[in-house]
Amino acid sequence: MKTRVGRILIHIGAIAFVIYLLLPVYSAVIAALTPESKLGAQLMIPVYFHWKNFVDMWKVIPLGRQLTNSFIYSIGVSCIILAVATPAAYALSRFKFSGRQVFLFGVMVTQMIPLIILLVPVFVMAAKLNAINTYAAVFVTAAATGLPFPILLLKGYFDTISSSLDEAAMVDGCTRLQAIIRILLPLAVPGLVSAFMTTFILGWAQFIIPLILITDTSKMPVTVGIYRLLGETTIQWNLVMAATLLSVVPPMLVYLVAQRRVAAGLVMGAIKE
Amino acid sequence: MEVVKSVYTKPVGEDIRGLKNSTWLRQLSPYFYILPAGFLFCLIYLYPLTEAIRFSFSKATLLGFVSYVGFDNYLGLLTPEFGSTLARTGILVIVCVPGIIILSLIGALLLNQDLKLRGLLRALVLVPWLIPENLVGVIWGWFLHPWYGIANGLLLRLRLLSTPIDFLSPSNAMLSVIMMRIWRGTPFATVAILGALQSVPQELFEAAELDGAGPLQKLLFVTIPSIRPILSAVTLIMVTWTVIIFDMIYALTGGGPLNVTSVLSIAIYKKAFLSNDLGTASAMAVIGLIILLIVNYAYFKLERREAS
Repeated sequence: MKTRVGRILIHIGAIAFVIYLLLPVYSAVIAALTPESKLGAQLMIPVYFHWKNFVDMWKVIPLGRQLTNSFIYSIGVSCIILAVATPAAYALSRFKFSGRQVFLFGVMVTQMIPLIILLVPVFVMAAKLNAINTYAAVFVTAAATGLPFPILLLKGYFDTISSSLDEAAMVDGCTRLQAIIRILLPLAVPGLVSAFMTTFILGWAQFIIPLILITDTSKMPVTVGIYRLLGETTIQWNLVMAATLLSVVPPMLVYLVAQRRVAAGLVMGAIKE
Repeated sequence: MEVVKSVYTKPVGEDIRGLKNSTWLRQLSPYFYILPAGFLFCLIYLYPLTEAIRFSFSKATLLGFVSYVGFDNYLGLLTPEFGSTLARTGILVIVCVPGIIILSLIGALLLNQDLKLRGLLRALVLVPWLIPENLVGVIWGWFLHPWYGIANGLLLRLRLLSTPIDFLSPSNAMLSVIMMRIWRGTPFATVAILGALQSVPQELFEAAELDGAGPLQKLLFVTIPSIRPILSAVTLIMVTWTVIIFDMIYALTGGGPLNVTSVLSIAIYKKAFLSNDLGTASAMAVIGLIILLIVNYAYFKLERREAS
């Protein structure tokens, strides 16, 4: 395909593919820039630039509160996952032990269970612990569901760091923990960053877990808040789309900051083993 | 299952540390590292799963266990209703997974070419993946809106339609869900396949070219075999995710209208939370899990045979 025509066709194909993936999002952008009365025109390009939608949407739902909540959930989930996944990944990378295969098998099976059915026992448990409507209940539940990929991602990353490095430190008198903290983790920073970013995106996307464990509207994340707007008798699509777009900005920013890392993290954690 | 009793993969340093630590403590140390993760899995997966299995043999409501009923919940699922739930889930998997894989393969092959703005195009591919799943459903609800949506607007302007169609009517809703699922699954698969394409050794293509292979032959006999492990891994992941799909469909159709998009997770949700029949809902989930375990088992058997 080295001919000129071939090259043009490849470009058209690639661009068409990307347009296909952006089209629904683009349609949301148009709605977000159109006054409600003009939505019926089925515009293909934004002509009104009705930025007031982005002002009015704050009056429809407590968007500021909900975005803050989403941020809290994302950070909490990411921190718990990193704190728990790092030692687990270390063990899987550096030790052979009986139960290793059982653990990896269990990690895989967690991905096959419809989450919704687990949430009833989790809800009962949370109720007994007086944890309904607490951030912690969502942190812990969501962290568990998001744990497998970061474990596999970090294990893969630790595998690329020669174990002779941390062992040399141990020969020199470091304890194992010191060797991990002083030698291994600094080398694994890129892996940790990509794990943090992917878990942040995952934390931001939480929906059914807070839907069931959080009934207090002041603790709802934006995903639930926007979903609840659809239940109203008249849906103001221009405002819903404006709020939706604003609420996808944080994960997009995380992605922009470290694009390659996030892409590799999202995919590789899922595919390794 | 491995039966390994040695703890250290590398014996270096063992003698030194061995003086301080007793052997049994050293044998336990990997478990200390794995303990927090193990605890979290037990709390959120293992315990609730055993509860779900117990409920599947019980009469149970959202308030909890009532009484054991043996296999009644499972026998109660031998109805056309649950049959069509499984059939809908099956259709979703059978249509969406090949759709995602083929589309992503084409997209990845295109994006692997020497393109102007290749970096930008590749970056944009992942955008649908970054949107929280339930908001994908919300955005598609607007995109497919019968009166206002751009999907209708575009088809009307291209004169492919003369009157707008209701994408979420009983006859069209499943098709809309399928389109949404393919759209959402494509970015992930594309990025994974693209990664695999980039690691295909260039020499293979050169050798094939020397043997006189054209572009199509290179694709079929060099590219596809080289990326086959990733293709099958992505396929397995997509099958799994599609069987347990929830957020997106819940936000777009809620399983309606008239249950036409009520796939497994949605049906479980409705049984548990709307009909307050936790026993039957749990039995549905157990059946779903068994099906996925069989699929995964078959996959690993096949992989092992391919590998050897």
